Amino acid sequence: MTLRFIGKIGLALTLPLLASTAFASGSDSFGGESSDQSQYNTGKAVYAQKLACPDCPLAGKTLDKMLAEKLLSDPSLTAKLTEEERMPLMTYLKRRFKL
Amino acid sequence: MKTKLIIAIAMAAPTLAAAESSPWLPIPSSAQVSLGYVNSSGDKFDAGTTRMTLPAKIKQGTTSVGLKLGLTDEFAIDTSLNYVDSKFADASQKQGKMSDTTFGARLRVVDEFEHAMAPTVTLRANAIIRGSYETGRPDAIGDGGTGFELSVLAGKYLMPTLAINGELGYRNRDNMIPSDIWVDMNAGYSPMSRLSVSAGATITRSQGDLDIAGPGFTGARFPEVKEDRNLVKLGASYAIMSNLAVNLNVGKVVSGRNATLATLWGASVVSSF
Repeated sequence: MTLRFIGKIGLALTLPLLASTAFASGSDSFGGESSDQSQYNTGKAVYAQKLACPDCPLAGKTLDKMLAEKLLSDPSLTAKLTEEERMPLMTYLKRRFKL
Repeated sequence: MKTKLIIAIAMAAPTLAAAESSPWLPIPSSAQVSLGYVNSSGDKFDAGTTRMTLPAKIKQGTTSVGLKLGLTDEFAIDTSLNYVDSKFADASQKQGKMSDTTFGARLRVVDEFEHAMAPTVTLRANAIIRGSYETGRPDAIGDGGTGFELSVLAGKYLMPTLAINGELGYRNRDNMIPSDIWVDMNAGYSPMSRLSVSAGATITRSQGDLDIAGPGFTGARFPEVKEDRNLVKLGASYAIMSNLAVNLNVGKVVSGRNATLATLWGASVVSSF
């Protein structure tokens, strides 16, 4: 009887722990990010990996507002990018430099 | 009377608002607002090292409102408010309370796009403020712990459409709650411009040594219980508009110690301006 009671209490006291599973860790919020935030990050990667890499056309150049404006206005500079790469890049440049 | 007590204790639902785990910060001078819901349910748990089955599922829903602000290119702050609604089987007693609130700050110390071979590395500090719920009663919804989290986040875009990231964190709260260490790992892929999918896992290890129903355990020592768990998760995000996305996630606690093997699903909408 005593063991049975202890078992029930143990069972009961375990149940509360379930509720913490969604949030017990600092990393399980299931959080997401907005679409332009995703585009921003992807665009940053496109710039670094497709335009500014060591063998890329803009290697060694500092990305500033002037260069960003040039990239936005001169399609020839981004001609080798796919549309799926160009759109995030535009989002990144516009948001980063408030253009 | 004994049954009522068991049910009442069973309904206790210690919650802790979660930290933000991304090493990539919000767009500078932008704000992100999110509204999310996470459902957690399960009827199996590991009490110490013994797996047991509950007589019925416990269900819990957490509604969260979050705000993230990108103050500069390297610094961002955020907060999250959480309301918890829980019930167990057909128990007449159910409850809804504000759970713990978090305030966080992130500082990026390494930018992968400025150092070709390096990952992005971000430091995070997070304050945890206990919720408005009562403690010291059997149906309290939390442990009543106020404290902090510190973590290191790292991530790398392997390609513009493929990224990996992880977090190593430490959490400390008062009220005799054991500190935790966690490791979080994720991989994300964007097969098309509006859609991204992700997979990940979180391993949490408590620094406590007290098992439920183990030597020295009493109801009053519940906050001191060691809780380990291993969670796997999948997610998808779809951009409805340029500044509005819907996120869907599922997760499963596959093993643990003093932890329920819960199934989780969540949905959220995130907008930025």
